[in-house]
Amino acid sequence: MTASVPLIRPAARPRDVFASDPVRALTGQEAGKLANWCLGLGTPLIPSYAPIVTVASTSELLFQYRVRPRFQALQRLWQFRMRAADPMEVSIEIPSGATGIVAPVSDTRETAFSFGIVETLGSQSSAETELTCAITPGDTTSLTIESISCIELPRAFLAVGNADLGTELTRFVTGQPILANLDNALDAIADPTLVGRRASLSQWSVPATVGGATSTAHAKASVGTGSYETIYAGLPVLTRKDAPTATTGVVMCKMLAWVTGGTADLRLNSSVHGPSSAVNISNTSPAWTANPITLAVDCENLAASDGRQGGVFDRLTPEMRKNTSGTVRVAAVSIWEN
Amino acid sequence: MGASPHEGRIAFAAAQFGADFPHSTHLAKSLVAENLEHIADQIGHACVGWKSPNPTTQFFTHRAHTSTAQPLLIWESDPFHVTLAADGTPYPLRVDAAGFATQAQPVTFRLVVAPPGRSIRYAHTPTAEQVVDCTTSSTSDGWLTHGDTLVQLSAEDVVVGLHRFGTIDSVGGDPITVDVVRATLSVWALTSNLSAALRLTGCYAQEYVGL
Repeated sequence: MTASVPLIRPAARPRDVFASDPVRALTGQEAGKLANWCLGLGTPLIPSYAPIVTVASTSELLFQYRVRPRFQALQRLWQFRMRAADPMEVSIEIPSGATGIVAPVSDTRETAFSFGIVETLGSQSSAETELTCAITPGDTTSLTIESISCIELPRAFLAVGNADLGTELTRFVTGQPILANLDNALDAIADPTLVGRRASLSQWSVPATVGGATSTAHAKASVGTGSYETIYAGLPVLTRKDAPTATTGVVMCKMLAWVTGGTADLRLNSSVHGPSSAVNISNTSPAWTANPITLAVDCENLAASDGRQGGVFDRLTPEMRKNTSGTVRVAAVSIWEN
Repeated sequence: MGASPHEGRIAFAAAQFGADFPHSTHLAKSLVAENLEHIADQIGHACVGWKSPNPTTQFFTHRAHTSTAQPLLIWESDPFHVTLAADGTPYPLRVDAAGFATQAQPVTFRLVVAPPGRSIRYAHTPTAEQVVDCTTSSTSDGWLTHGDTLVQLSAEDVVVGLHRFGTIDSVGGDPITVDVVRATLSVWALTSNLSAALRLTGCYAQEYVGL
């Protein structure tokens, strides 16, 4: 099988196609290469973000994320950048509950480094799922977690017969049918959820569970006032552009949240398009919102030098509101493209 | 202007094209080649993205300045994978940063994209294409104003950032290798007054195919 995935973006060569000439096998092959590249490139599941979690205990810290991975991924690269008051070690489990891997932690920013761990998947899936990792400090030295990220490793080549949707490049020979070989590529192109979707636009997660028990130490909290409060303010967002006339794209969001009683509302607020409809919660222990929050936000403008619509950032702010007395807490916000 | 003249995906139903269907010029040009070019234009990664939920108490800062000419590291992302265009050049990164100064003095947050271990080289080169400066005198937190929004690795950076990963060829399959180009986004602090420090409270970087 040679449904190979190049490192450098191939060119599909639409200008090789003329109305008066037959379509060449070579043109089909170049399109197949580009389709494989788009499908096998890999994507960030957790864009590098700063939890800014500082602890001085040996209790396990559980981080939870909600993602829609790409089917083609076989392995993920997790990376952790941490700094401590003195050199120390931590144990990292991926996912939470797996065998811990010991990682060193430096005591200066200039010598801090990203410690990488490869997670190998037991099966392929593009279904929405939860990712977890657990960090357990080795001693009570003050430790700050400065960055966490997770990236799907690219593929060397794709399978042709399953949902990898790989295109076999050796079958594009003169006299052979072209379309049969591009069947998988056509399926991918026709469904924008199958190729090119950004698995995550942003992730923010702090521990809602510390030492195996629910913790309020790190979550963002709001007491009942009836007014929406900011979870974090105005992170830029741009989805990919789909239809030629599109100026917006839809983002999906789920939050890890809970209340002390009564109900709370969670929503997204775009600086350009306004707020989404709210999702209501009443759970009293940390749980992901059952239904996603959806909102149309700016998509990329290919006529702009930096892709922004109107030269401004569309800024997305997650918000929470406690409807009655009591407290709502949010420990994670996961946002991805539809 | 994207690689596709439509600047968008032309929708169609794949089921209408069977294996023995003639490969028409319309299908080859618009539905396959140009659609794929558009999908590739829009495939840039979301590499970095965070904003402190408590900016007055949760932020990153730097060691004490001893010179107004010396950039000091505030924060660096984990390495991310860089997308390479058809000519081998990397997709530019659209960037943004948030923060404030501890005193009402001009300070500069310098955003630098570079292969891992090389950001300090560009931290001293404000005119490099790898650098965007965000200057503020505000003691209130907020996303910073900056004229430039794009940073880009050079051809040399691509060579330096090339990394070979060992992976597998299928679920439970055999070992194989893949090449990626890796880079980080770092934020450096410069101050006009040695008593004015910088507090970084947010950072963003997303690839964009560019014009």
